[in-house]
Amino acid sequence: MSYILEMRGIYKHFGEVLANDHVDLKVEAGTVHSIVGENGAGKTTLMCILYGLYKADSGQIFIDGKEVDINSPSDAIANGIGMIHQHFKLIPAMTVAENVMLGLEPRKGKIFLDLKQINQQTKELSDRYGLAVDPKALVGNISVGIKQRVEILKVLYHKANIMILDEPTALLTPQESEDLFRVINHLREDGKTILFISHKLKEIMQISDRITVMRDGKIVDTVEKRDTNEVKLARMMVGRDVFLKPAPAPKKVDGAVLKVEDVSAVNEFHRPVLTDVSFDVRSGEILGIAGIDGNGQTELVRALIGLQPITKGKITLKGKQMDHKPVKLIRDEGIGVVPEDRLMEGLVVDFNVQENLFLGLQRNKPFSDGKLISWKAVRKNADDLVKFFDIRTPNNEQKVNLLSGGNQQKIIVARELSHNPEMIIAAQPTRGLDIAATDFVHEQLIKQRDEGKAILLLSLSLDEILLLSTRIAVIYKGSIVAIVNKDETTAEDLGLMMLGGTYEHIPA
Amino acid sequence: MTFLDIIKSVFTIALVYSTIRISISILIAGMGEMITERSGVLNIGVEGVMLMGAWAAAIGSYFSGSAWIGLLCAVGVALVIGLIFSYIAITLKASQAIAGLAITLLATGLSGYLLQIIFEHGGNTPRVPTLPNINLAFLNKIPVLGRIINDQSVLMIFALLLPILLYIIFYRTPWGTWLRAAGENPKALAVVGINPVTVRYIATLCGAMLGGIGGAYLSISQTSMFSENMVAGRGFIALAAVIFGNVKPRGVFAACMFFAFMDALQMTLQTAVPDNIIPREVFQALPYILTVVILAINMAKGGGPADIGNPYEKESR
Repeated sequence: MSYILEMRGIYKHFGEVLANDHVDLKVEAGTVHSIVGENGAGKTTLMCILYGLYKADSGQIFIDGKEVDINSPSDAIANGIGMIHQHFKLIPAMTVAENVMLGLEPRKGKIFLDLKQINQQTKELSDRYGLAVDPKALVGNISVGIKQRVEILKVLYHKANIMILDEPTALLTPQESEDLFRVINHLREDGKTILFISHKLKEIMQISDRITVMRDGKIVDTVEKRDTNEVKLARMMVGRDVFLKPAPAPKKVDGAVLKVEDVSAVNEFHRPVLTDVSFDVRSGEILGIAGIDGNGQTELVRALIGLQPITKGKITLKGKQMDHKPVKLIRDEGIGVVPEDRLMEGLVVDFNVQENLFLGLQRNKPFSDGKLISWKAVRKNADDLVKFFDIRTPNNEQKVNLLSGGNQQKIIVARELSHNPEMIIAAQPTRGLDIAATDFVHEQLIKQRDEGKAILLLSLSLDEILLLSTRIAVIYKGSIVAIVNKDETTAEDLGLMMLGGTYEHIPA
Repeated sequence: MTFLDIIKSVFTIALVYSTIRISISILIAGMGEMITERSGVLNIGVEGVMLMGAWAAAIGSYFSGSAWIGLLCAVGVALVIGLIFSYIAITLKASQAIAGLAITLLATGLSGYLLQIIFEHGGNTPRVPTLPNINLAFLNKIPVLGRIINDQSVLMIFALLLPILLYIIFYRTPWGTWLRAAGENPKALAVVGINPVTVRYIATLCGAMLGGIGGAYLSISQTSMFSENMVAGRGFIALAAVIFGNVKPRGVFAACMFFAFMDALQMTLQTAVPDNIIPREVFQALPYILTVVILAINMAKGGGPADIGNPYEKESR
């Protein structure tokens, strides 16, 4: 068997982080070869080396059995390698056709662009692979799914035989993902070799011919799809058994910590976003809020922590009034929040680890005596939390925007739990996290529950709600339509209530 | 003197002539800065580049006896400054604002200092040879055109052709596409095998070169000497025109002409309106006040390069 691509002994480190540790990879022509692994396992680094974006410290690359030197993307393109990046490398201010042709524009004479050819060739390529893209549309105006097709067109225009797709479904809706898989199958039938990078096991099992698993910068194994399954892959990826299992029943549920009574709120256009919302969260339980995105979850969290004014109703924490109070006071009274948008509301991404670990607590002891910040206390806090929560960072003065999503989330969770709040609000706490990081966050929430804390969990994933919750409240169009015990309901029942009790068609 | 008399004495062919005359330096420098900014680099040191260009042109012209050699000297000195700026801003990835400011401060001090050293007195150089003016006999037969074009510097032709040339380069050549791409998303350019650093270097050097020529116009064409600080804010006006014109050839051209017109107008008004009615300082301040007002209105519009001012980082995610 001959291999279209072989990488031998690839070694690369960034500062103190070893990203690729003597990686060997063999890929057969005309197959979809998946590379799976947790965030930070080294998949993307390996692909960036293959595409000439990073320079390997050592190692060899063979195309069709011949050793090649790839020092830049132009070398990669010349060797028939194309890459569809996770974060699109497109120019919103230019048209689809201009983006596709960028760098290799057809010319009239030697100097001028052949504008007619640019549009025509894009149209032809798009038609040939059934991509249905308008060459003259401005990239800034098209959807994410279409943008990805523009990236695919670009690679096809470069006449690539080996196409790297780096986490291609990360930003797609399920419908768009299905469309992508159809395109990938079409490309494979056309003889292209696809390198598919992902950590979503379901889609890996759907699309791949062979699968290579990476962990901590090393290759764990390469297997045929027919010889494996999701559970086996997960074990190889994480290095131990993982099965996200339902939380054990709570030990002791006590009285209500947070009481929400008849709360209503309107948005900036004076439309109701919350209507007569009532529930309580008791000590020692996790109350899950299930609902389809955009049914008032965001506003509910903001109302609870004082960011969204309420027009009616009462919010009390252990009997104390919390509505119409400043955010700082609400937090100091004992509410911890893991916000839904980690980068916008959870962290200051240009601050370092230790600064983020005491964010919002600057005026509290022991970090401050009311006037000056005690950096000694800040450092000690960071040392303790980094160790306890196993936050992977080269040092505590590392800016958090260079850490992985999982480690960023650990910082938020660590900080919010560190001031020991009675009430924890976790909004989308595992969005975008890999298996191990998800597992970690779940463990922490269950631990806090068993210590008698009250926990409000908001998640768009019904699986997650069912795994963790003691009771489940369903939110629909800003109202709580039902509150049920976890043991007395099913995913189907909940799904029906989330749709308002009718089988409405939900556009993809 | 009636109001109508004042209007008549202000809006004349002479006003058009001086508008064009004033526009030449800011048009050339502004077009240069537009190239630089389109590639994603903000060089606020245009003022300094122009000043050094004016200085080098006068010195070169004085010692060689040829204004054309002077012009070459201006280009050479401007390229050296452009290279220093590029190295600091693109290769070393320092703050472009600080680097540009440093260039202007350096040029102000250096040009005056070198003047002192060479001529043993400050202030200004002796008279130097100048570039020829346009003087075509047949134009005199055409009533208005002759009075507007004849007697302008030859650089006028260059200045007025420049926007057209750059429009073609920007939108009709691959190089123009890469230039725009470097300013919008340099990574998109890097992944198709074109080095954004090279593109930004070339754009910054082209910009500096044109800044130098814009400055040279002041010392070896509009006047015939270099005097200290003679650029007098024209570099900043050019910078404002680039922003006002959305960093696009047609817009920047229009903005440069507008600023030049306002300047010509205020000068005419100064002499046309008696000082005891409206003090001349009011007119002198007019172009600057308008600049602030227009930029404030224009800021919300956008349309400039998305990645301007950010250094290109190769191995970042």
